[in-house]
Amino acid sequence: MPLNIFETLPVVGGAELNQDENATGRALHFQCVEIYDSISWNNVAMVVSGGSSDVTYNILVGLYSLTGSTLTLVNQATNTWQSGYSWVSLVTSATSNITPGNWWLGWVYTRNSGRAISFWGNNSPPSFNDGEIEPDYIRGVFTANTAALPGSINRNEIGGEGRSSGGSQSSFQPYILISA
Amino acid sequence: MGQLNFAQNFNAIPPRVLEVSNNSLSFFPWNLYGSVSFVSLNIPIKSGISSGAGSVAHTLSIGLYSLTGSTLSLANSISLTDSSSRTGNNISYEGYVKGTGTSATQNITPGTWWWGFVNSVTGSITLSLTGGFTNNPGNAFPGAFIGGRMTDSTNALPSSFATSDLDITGSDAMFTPFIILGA
Repeated sequence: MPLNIFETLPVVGGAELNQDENATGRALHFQCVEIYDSISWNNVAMVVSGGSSDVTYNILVGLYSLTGSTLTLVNQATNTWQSGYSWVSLVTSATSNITPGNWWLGWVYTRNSGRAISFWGNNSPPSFNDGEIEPDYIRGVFTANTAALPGSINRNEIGGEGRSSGGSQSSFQPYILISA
Repeated sequence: MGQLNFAQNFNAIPPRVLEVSNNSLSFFPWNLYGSVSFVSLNIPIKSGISSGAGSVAHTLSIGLYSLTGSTLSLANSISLTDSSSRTGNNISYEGYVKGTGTSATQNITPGTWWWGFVNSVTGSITLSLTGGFTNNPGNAFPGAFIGGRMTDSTNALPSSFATSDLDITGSDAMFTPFIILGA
Protein backbone atom coordinates (compact mmCIF):
# COMPACT_ATOMS: atom_id res chain seq x y z
CA MET A 1 0.00 0.00 0.00
CA PRO A 2 1.64 3.30 -1.03
CA LEU A 3 2.53 5.71 1.72
CA ASN A 4 0.92 9.12 2.08
CA ILE A 5 3.78 10.51 4.18
CA PHE A 6 7.33 9.64 5.10
CA GLU A 7 9.17 11.44 7.91
CA THR A 8 12.88 11.15 8.61
CA LEU A 9 12.09 11.66 12.31
CA PRO A 10 8.87 11.35 14.30
CA VAL A 11 7.36 14.78 14.82
CA VAL A 12 6.25 14.09 18.37
CA GLY A 13 9.23 13.67 20.66
CA GLY A 14 11.66 13.15 17.83
CA ALA A 15 12.49 16.52 16.37
CA GLU A 16 13.95 19.60 18.04
CA LEU A 17 15.44 22.81 16.72
CA ASN A 18 19.14 22.55 16.05
CA GLN A 19 21.19 25.36 14.59
CA ASP A 20 23.42 24.57 11.67
CA GLU A 21 26.93 25.39 12.82
CA ASN A 22 28.22 26.10 9.36
CA ALA A 23 28.78 29.84 9.25
CA THR A 24 27.58 30.40 5.70
CA GLY A 25 25.38 27.39 5.14
CA ARG A 26 26.59 25.45 2.09
CA ALA A 27 27.25 22.35 4.20
CA LEU A 28 25.70 19.46 2.27
CA HIS A 29 24.42 16.85 4.70
CA PHE A 30 23.55 13.30 3.69
CA GLN A 31 21.36 10.89 5.57
CA CYS A 32 20.29 7.37 4.76
CA VAL A 33 16.74 6.17 5.19
CA GLU A 34 14.60 3.10 4.68
CA ILE A 35 11.35 3.87 2.91
CA TYR A 36 8.94 1.11 3.75
CA ASP A 37 6.62 1.33 0.77
CA SER A 38 6.13 3.34 -2.39
CA ILE A 39 5.57 7.06 -2.05
CA SER A 40 5.26 9.82 -4.58
CA TRP A 41 7.98 12.51 -4.43
CA ASN A 42 5.34 15.19 -4.70
CA ASN A 43 5.76 17.50 -1.71
CA VAL A 44 8.77 18.00 0.55
CA ALA A 45 8.74 20.10 3.72
CA MET A 46 11.04 21.12 6.57
CA VAL A 47 10.68 23.33 9.67
CA VAL A 48 12.97 26.35 9.90
CA SER A 49 13.55 29.06 12.50
CA GLY A 50 15.49 32.31 12.66
CA GLY A 51 16.64 34.23 9.65
CA SER A 52 16.46 37.88 8.73
CA SER A 53 13.94 39.78 6.62
CA ASP A 54 16.70 41.29 4.51
CA VAL A 55 18.36 37.94 3.74
CA THR A 56 17.14 35.24 1.34
CA TYR A 57 17.95 31.63 2.23
CA ASN A 58 17.85 28.96 -0.44
CA ILE A 59 16.98 25.47 0.83
CA LEU A 60 17.58 22.34 -1.27
CA VAL A 61 16.81 18.66 -0.67
CA GLY A 62 17.93 15.94 -3.07
CA LEU A 63 16.91 12.30 -3.36
CA TYR A 64 19.88 10.06 -4.12
CA SER A 65 20.33 6.41 -5.00
CA LEU A 66 23.52 4.47 -4.30
CA THR A 67 25.26 2.23 -6.80
CA GLY A 68 28.60 0.91 -5.71
CA SER A 69 30.31 3.90 -4.16
CA THR A 70 28.44 6.58 -6.10
CA LEU A 71 25.42 8.53 -4.94
CA THR A 72 23.37 9.74 -7.90
CA LEU A 73 20.79 12.52 -7.77
CA VAL A 74 17.38 11.19 -8.76
CA ASN A 75 15.16 14.13 -7.84
CA GLN A 76 15.23 17.34 -5.83
CA ALA A 77 13.08 19.97 -4.14
CA THR A 78 13.98 23.61 -3.45
CA ASN A 79 12.60 26.91 -2.21
CA THR A 80 13.63 30.20 -0.67
CA TRP A 81 12.85 31.43 2.83
CA GLN A 82 13.51 34.55 4.88
CA SER A 83 12.58 34.61 8.54
CA GLY A 84 10.26 33.37 11.28
CA TYR A 85 9.51 29.92 12.65
CA SER A 86 7.60 28.00 10.04
CA TRP A 87 7.11 25.06 7.77
CA VAL A 88 8.76 25.48 4.39
CA SER A 89 7.34 23.69 1.38
CA LEU A 90 9.99 22.82 -1.15
CA VAL A 91 9.01 22.65 -4.80
CA THR A 92 9.92 19.36 -6.44
CA SER A 93 11.65 19.44 -9.82
CA ALA A 94 9.53 16.54 -11.04
CA THR A 95 7.00 14.14 -9.60
CA SER A 96 8.33 10.64 -9.35
CA ASN A 97 7.50 7.47 -7.48
CA ILE A 98 9.97 6.37 -4.82
CA THR A 99 10.15 2.59 -4.62
CA PRO A 100 10.62 0.77 -1.28
CA GLY A 101 14.15 0.34 -0.02
CA ASN A 102 17.22 2.30 1.05
CA TRP A 103 17.53 5.87 -0.20
CA TRP A 104 19.80 8.78 0.62
CA LEU A 105 18.69 12.37 1.18
CA GLY A 106 21.03 15.29 0.63
CA TRP A 107 20.19 18.64 2.26
CA VAL A 108 21.89 22.02 2.02
CA TYR A 109 20.96 25.65 2.46
CA THR A 110 22.75 28.76 1.28
CA ARG A 111 22.73 32.40 2.27
CA ASN A 112 24.73 35.37 1.08
CA SER A 113 24.78 37.12 4.44
CA GLY A 114 22.96 37.17 7.77
CA ARG A 115 22.71 34.61 10.53
CA ALA A 116 22.75 30.85 10.51
CA ILE A 117 19.27 29.38 10.82
CA SER A 118 17.91 26.44 12.75
CA PHE A 119 16.12 23.35 11.46
CA TRP A 120 14.01 20.77 13.19
CA GLY A 121 16.16 17.71 13.56
CA ASN A 122 17.68 15.34 16.05
CA ASN A 123 19.24 17.20 18.95
CA SER A 124 22.56 16.71 20.74
CA PRO A 125 24.32 14.72 18.02
CA PRO A 126 27.45 12.98 19.31
CA SER A 127 30.96 13.76 18.18
CA PHE A 128 32.82 10.58 17.40
CA ASN A 129 36.52 9.83 17.77
CA ASP A 130 36.56 7.41 14.87
CA GLY A 131 35.31 3.96 14.02
CA GLU A 132 34.52 1.37 11.41
CA ILE A 133 30.97 1.29 10.10
CA GLU A 134 28.79 -0.39 7.50
CA PRO A 135 29.81 1.36 4.25
CA ASP A 136 26.35 1.71 2.69
CA TYR A 137 25.15 3.46 5.82
CA ILE A 138 26.05 6.98 4.87
CA ARG A 139 25.32 9.90 7.14
CA GLY A 140 27.62 12.87 7.13
CA VAL A 141 28.70 16.10 5.52
CA PHE A 142 30.20 16.65 2.07
CA THR A 143 33.83 17.66 2.47
CA ALA A 144 33.47 20.75 0.26
CA ASN A 145 31.05 23.67 0.66
CA THR A 146 28.50 23.80 -2.12
CA ALA A 147 25.54 25.92 -3.15
CA ALA A 148 23.96 23.20 -5.26
CA LEU A 149 23.14 19.51 -5.14
CA PRO A 150 25.77 17.57 -7.11
CA GLY A 151 24.50 15.21 -9.74
CA SER A 152 26.74 12.48 -8.38
CA ILE A 153 29.12 12.16 -5.46
CA ASN A 154 31.46 9.48 -4.21
CA ARG A 155 30.75 8.40 -0.66
CA ASN A 156 34.43 8.88 0.14
CA GLU A 157 33.79 12.59 -0.25
CA ILE A 158 31.49 12.59 2.76
CA GLY A 159 32.86 13.12 6.25
CA GLY A 160 30.74 10.48 7.85
CA GLU A 161 29.14 9.73 11.16
CA GLY A 162 31.32 7.55 13.29
CA ARG A 163 34.49 9.07 11.89
CA SER A 164 36.60 11.81 13.36
CA SER A 165 36.49 13.50 9.95
CA GLY A 166 32.74 13.88 10.26
CA GLY A 167 32.45 15.87 13.47
CA SER A 168 29.26 16.38 15.44
CA GLN A 169 27.41 17.88 12.46
CA SER A 170 27.76 14.59 10.58
CA SER A 171 25.20 13.14 12.99
CA PHE A 172 22.75 16.01 12.67
CA GLN A 173 19.75 14.85 10.69
CA PRO A 174 17.04 17.38 9.81
CA TYR A 175 13.35 16.54 9.84
CA ILE A 176 12.28 16.07 6.23
CA LEU A 177 8.70 15.27 5.32
CA ILE A 178 7.90 13.66 1.97
CA SER A 179 4.23 13.58 1.12
CA ALA A 180 2.38 12.21 -1.86
CA MET B 1 9.83 -4.07 0.78
CA GLY B 2 12.45 -6.27 -0.83
CA GLN B 3 16.13 -6.64 -0.09
CA LEU B 4 17.88 -3.88 1.85
CA ASN B 5 21.51 -2.72 1.79
CA PHE B 6 21.31 -1.93 5.50
CA ALA B 7 18.69 -1.59 8.23
CA GLN B 8 18.65 0.57 11.33
CA ASN B 9 16.24 0.64 14.25
CA PHE B 10 16.30 4.43 14.58
CA ASN B 11 16.21 6.82 11.61
CA ALA B 12 18.55 9.21 13.41
CA ILE B 13 21.14 8.51 16.06
CA PRO B 14 19.44 9.03 19.42
CA PRO B 15 20.91 11.58 21.81
CA ARG B 16 20.61 9.49 24.95
CA VAL B 17 23.38 7.31 26.32
CA LEU B 18 22.95 4.63 28.95
CA GLU B 19 25.75 2.84 30.75
CA VAL B 20 25.53 -0.90 30.31
CA SER B 21 26.20 -3.17 33.26
CA ASN B 22 28.88 -5.81 32.91
CA ASN B 23 27.69 -9.42 32.38
CA SER B 24 24.08 -8.35 32.12
CA LEU B 25 21.86 -9.80 29.38
CA SER B 26 19.16 -7.56 27.89
CA PHE B 27 16.60 -8.05 25.12
CA PHE B 28 14.95 -5.47 22.87
CA PRO B 29 12.57 -5.74 19.90
CA TRP B 30 13.06 -4.79 16.28
CA ASN B 31 10.47 -4.69 13.50
CA LEU B 32 12.30 -5.39 10.25
CA TYR B 33 10.36 -4.17 7.19
CA GLY B 34 12.53 -5.65 4.47
CA SER B 35 14.95 -8.53 4.12
CA VAL B 36 18.59 -7.91 4.92
CA SER B 37 21.50 -10.27 4.69
CA PHE B 38 23.06 -10.49 8.15
CA VAL B 39 26.72 -9.83 7.42
CA SER B 40 27.72 -7.10 9.85
CA LEU B 41 26.39 -5.28 12.87
CA ASN B 42 27.43 -1.75 13.79
CA ILE B 43 26.79 -0.06 17.10
CA PRO B 44 27.91 3.34 18.45
CA ILE B 45 29.53 3.07 21.86
CA LYS B 46 31.02 5.30 24.47
CA SER B 47 33.75 3.58 26.36
CA GLY B 48 36.43 4.58 28.78
CA ILE B 49 38.30 4.11 31.98
CA SER B 50 36.73 5.83 34.91
CA SER B 51 40.02 6.47 36.66
CA GLY B 52 43.68 5.73 36.25
CA ALA B 53 45.56 4.21 33.34
CA GLY B 54 44.87 1.15 31.23
CA SER B 55 43.63 -0.16 27.88
CA VAL B 56 39.98 -0.13 26.85
CA ALA B 57 38.89 -3.55 25.65
CA HIS B 58 35.60 -5.39 25.90
CA THR B 59 33.41 -7.83 24.02
CA LEU B 60 29.79 -7.22 23.18
CA SER B 61 27.90 -10.41 22.32
CA ILE B 62 24.68 -9.88 20.36
CA GLY B 63 22.17 -12.54 19.49
CA LEU B 64 19.21 -12.56 17.10
CA TYR B 65 16.20 -14.24 18.66
CA SER B 66 12.74 -15.25 17.54
CA LEU B 67 9.83 -15.33 19.99
CA THR B 68 7.37 -18.20 20.15
CA GLY B 69 4.85 -17.91 22.93
CA SER B 70 6.98 -16.73 25.83
CA THR B 71 10.22 -18.36 24.72
CA LEU B 72 13.05 -16.51 22.99
CA SER B 73 15.12 -18.79 20.75
CA LEU B 74 18.57 -17.95 19.41
CA ALA B 75 18.70 -17.84 15.60
CA ASN B 76 22.08 -16.20 15.05
CA SER B 77 24.81 -14.32 16.87
CA ILE B 78 27.73 -11.98 16.37
CA SER B 79 30.57 -10.71 18.54
CA LEU B 80 31.86 -7.15 18.57
CA THR B 81 35.23 -6.61 20.17
CA ASP B 82 36.42 -3.13 20.88
CA SER B 83 40.14 -3.54 21.49
CA SER B 84 41.82 -0.66 19.73
CA SER B 85 45.06 0.51 21.26
CA ARG B 86 43.65 3.29 23.31
CA THR B 87 45.79 3.37 26.38
CA GLY B 88 46.34 6.11 28.86
CA ASN B 89 44.85 7.93 31.81
CA ASN B 90 41.11 8.51 32.03
CA ILE B 91 40.77 7.68 28.34
CA SER B 92 37.48 7.72 26.52
CA TYR B 93 36.26 6.66 23.12
CA GLU B 94 33.04 7.45 21.29
CA GLY B 95 32.51 5.83 17.93
CA TYR B 96 31.11 2.88 16.04
CA VAL B 97 32.21 -0.67 16.64
CA LYS B 98 31.57 -3.17 13.88
CA GLY B 99 31.27 -6.90 14.11
CA THR B 100 31.44 -9.37 11.23
CA GLY B 101 31.30 -13.13 11.17
CA THR B 102 27.89 -14.31 12.22
CA SER B 103 27.39 -17.76 13.69
CA ALA B 104 25.22 -18.68 10.68
CA THR B 105 24.57 -17.43 7.16
CA GLN B 106 21.17 -15.80 7.25
CA ASN B 107 19.00 -13.52 5.21
CA ILE B 108 16.83 -11.99 7.93
CA THR B 109 13.22 -11.90 6.75
CA PRO B 110 10.73 -9.14 7.57
CA GLY B 111 8.92 -9.33 10.87
CA THR B 112 9.44 -8.79 14.57
CA TRP B 113 12.76 -10.03 15.87
CA TRP B 114 14.54 -9.69 19.21
CA TRP B 115 18.10 -8.84 19.99
CA GLY B 116 19.87 -10.00 23.10
CA PHE B 117 23.12 -8.32 24.12
CA VAL B 118 25.62 -8.87 26.89
CA ASN B 119 28.81 -6.95 27.62
CA SER B 120 31.90 -8.48 29.20
CA VAL B 121 34.78 -6.35 30.46
CA THR B 122 37.41 -6.48 33.12
CA GLY B 123 38.70 -3.73 35.31
CA SER B 124 37.31 -0.24 35.65
CA ILE B 125 36.17 0.01 32.05
CA THR B 126 32.77 1.55 31.40
CA LEU B 127 30.58 0.99 28.37
CA SER B 128 27.64 3.11 27.32
CA LEU B 129 25.36 2.59 24.36
CA THR B 130 23.40 5.17 22.42
CA GLY B 131 19.71 4.50 22.29
CA GLY B 132 16.22 5.25 23.41
CA PHE B 133 14.05 4.93 26.47
CA THR B 134 15.47 6.52 29.52
CA ASN B 135 12.01 7.16 30.90
CA ASN B 136 11.40 5.20 34.03
CA PRO B 137 7.75 4.23 34.65
CA GLY B 138 7.19 2.47 37.92
CA ASN B 139 5.27 -0.47 36.46
CA ALA B 140 5.79 -2.94 33.67
CA PHE B 141 4.37 -2.51 30.18
CA PRO B 142 0.80 -3.86 30.38
CA GLY B 143 0.79 -5.81 27.17
CA ALA B 144 2.93 -8.04 24.98
CA PHE B 145 6.62 -8.52 25.74
CA ILE B 146 8.64 -5.52 24.53
CA GLY B 147 11.98 -6.23 26.14
CA GLY B 148 13.67 -6.79 29.46
CA ARG B 149 16.82 -7.59 31.37
CA MET B 150 18.05 -10.77 32.99
CA THR B 151 18.55 -10.29 36.70
CA ASP B 152 21.32 -12.92 37.08
CA SER B 153 24.84 -12.33 35.79
CA THR B 154 25.98 -14.05 32.63
CA ASN B 155 28.66 -13.59 30.01
CA ALA B 156 27.03 -15.73 27.30
CA LEU B 157 23.97 -15.67 25.09
CA PRO B 158 21.50 -18.41 26.00
CA SER B 159 20.11 -20.63 23.24
CA SER B 160 16.65 -20.03 24.66
CA PHE B 161 15.15 -17.92 27.40
CA ALA B 162 11.74 -17.46 28.99
CA THR B 163 10.48 -13.88 28.90
CA SER B 164 8.83 -14.48 32.27
CA ASP B 165 12.31 -14.67 33.82
CA LEU B 166 13.21 -11.13 32.76
CA ASP B 167 12.96 -7.85 34.64
CA ILE B 168 10.68 -5.73 32.46
CA THR B 169 10.39 -2.62 34.60
CA GLY B 170 12.43 0.55 34.47
CA SER B 171 14.71 2.35 32.07
CA ASP B 172 17.55 -0.15 32.41
CA ALA B 173 15.26 -3.03 31.47
CA MET B 174 13.60 -1.20 28.58
CA PHE B 175 16.65 0.45 27.01
CA THR B 176 16.93 -0.02 23.23
CA PRO B 177 20.40 0.59 21.77
CA PHE B 178 20.84 1.94 18.28
CA ILE B 179 22.19 -0.67 15.87
CA ILE B 180 22.77 -0.93 12.13
CA LEU B 181 22.68 -4.18 10.20
CA GLY B 182 24.81 -4.37 7.10
CA ALA B 183 24.42 -6.68 4.14
